[in-house]
Amino acid sequence: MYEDFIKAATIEINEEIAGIQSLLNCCKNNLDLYANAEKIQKHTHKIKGLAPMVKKDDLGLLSSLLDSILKKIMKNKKSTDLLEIFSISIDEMKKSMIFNNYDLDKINKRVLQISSNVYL
Amino acid sequence: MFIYEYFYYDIFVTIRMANILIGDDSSAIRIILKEILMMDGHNVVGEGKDGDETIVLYCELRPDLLLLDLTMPKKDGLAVIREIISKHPEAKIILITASDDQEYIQHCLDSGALSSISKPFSFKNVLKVVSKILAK
Repeated sequence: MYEDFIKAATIEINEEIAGIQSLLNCCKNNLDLYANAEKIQKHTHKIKGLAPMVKKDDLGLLSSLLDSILKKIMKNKKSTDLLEIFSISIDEMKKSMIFNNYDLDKINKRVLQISSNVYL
Repeated sequence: MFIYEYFYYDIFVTIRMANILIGDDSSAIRIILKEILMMDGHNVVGEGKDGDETIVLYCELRPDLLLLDLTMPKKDGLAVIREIISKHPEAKIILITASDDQEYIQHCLDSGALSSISKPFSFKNVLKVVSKILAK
């Protein structure tokens, strides 16, 4: 049964990542990202809860940091270069689902730094 | 709820085997919750994949307990709690959520949910909270 859980969770996480990618594909700039923040946040929220349960703690952390940025955006807070960091993050998320023990430490530190610079 | 009592090495044991409904849009979460609950002898009577379905199943099945995700399609957890509690004020509902929005969680508790479990959750914590709420 635990294997069934891992299988289902892996499929769901990949679907959520694909969902974010699809939304980001429609974004040409930060304003587009702001407009899609609520939709993207639904996906980061799901990954945040599920990833640590399949031993992808770093992916859970990255989702949690992005989730936090998106919630700030939804409260009309802004920052520069957010679309770029989201695009990089989604690529890193995909790699972490393909390669075991893929190191997300660098991107997590970068996103954490950006998160603290999101301002009103 | 079926209460089963027996002696085990001179210890009097009471097992409350409850009928439990799960409301979560994640099939993975439903699979693992079902496994955890069944391990403890409970009976999972239904699985709602969104807010509307969870309300319909609750009214049909009248379970002893509802484990409810906060963020679901069609109706979110808070709306589900309000609707179920308005129809069945005695309902026992435990929230399962990845949200860190304490204000929102408190709204849900004020609306009738009895406890909350954070995602990611451990088997031990789920069983501890379920057992505590069933004993109320």
